[in-house]
Amino acid sequence: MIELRGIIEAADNGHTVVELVVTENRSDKYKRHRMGVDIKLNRGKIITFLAFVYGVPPGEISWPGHIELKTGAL
Amino acid sequence: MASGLPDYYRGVDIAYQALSQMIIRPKYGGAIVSTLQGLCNASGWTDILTVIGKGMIYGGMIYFDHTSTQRDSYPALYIDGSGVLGRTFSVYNKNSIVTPGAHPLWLSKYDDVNFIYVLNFSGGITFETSLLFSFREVHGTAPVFTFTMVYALV
Repeated sequence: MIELRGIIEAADNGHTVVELVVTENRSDKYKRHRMGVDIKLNRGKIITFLAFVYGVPPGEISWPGHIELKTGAL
Repeated sequence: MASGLPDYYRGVDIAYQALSQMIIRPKYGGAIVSTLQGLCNASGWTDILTVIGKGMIYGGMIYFDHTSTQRDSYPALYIDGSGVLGRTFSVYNKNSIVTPGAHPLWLSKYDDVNFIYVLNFSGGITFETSLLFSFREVHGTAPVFTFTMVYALV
C-alpha cells in the first residue's frame, strides 16, 4: 500500500515547489517526490500523481485522516 | 497470548510505571531537510515553508540579508493552524531570546548595522496536522532569505 505521509510546499527563488512524502509498506524509508512548481493542489491531483508514479490504480493510494488540504493560510 | 501475539509483546502500564525508564530518541537518518532561498515579498507575507502532515521539528535556521533594516519585520510560525509566534527581530533582540531551547524560535544574530538577522528553530516542536513558517515584511523592501529546516514526518 502506498501511503501519503506529508505534503511540503516550499518557497524557492520566487516559486512554490510542491513535494509529496510517501511510504511504501509502512516502512521507515519515506520517499520524497517532487510533484511540481506553482501548482494548486487538490486531493484528486495528488492521488492521480502518485498512482502514475507508482503505476497502481488510484484506489491503492492511502490517504491518512490527519492530512487535510485547506485553502489559504493553514 | 489471547491476542495472538507472542508472549513477549506486552502493553506498558504507564500508571504502574512498568518501565524503569523511557528514552525518546529521534531518528535523524529519517529526517527531511528543506533548504530554500529567495526574496520575501515587500510589505506583505511570504509563506516560506508549508508542511501538511504529522511530525516534529529537529531544528533549523533562517538567515536574512538586506541593504536596509528589517528590525520590525517578523517571522511567524503556525502549528496546526494556530499562530504560535510572531515577534519582530527587535523584540527578540530586546528580550534577549538567544538561548537554544528556551523558546521555539531564538535569535543568533541581530546586526542592525549590516542588516543581517538570523533566527533558529528549537528542536522538539511537534505538529499534528500542519506547519507553516511565514514572514511578514513591513519596511517596504524585499530581503533575501536562506532557510533550512530539519524535521520528520511520521
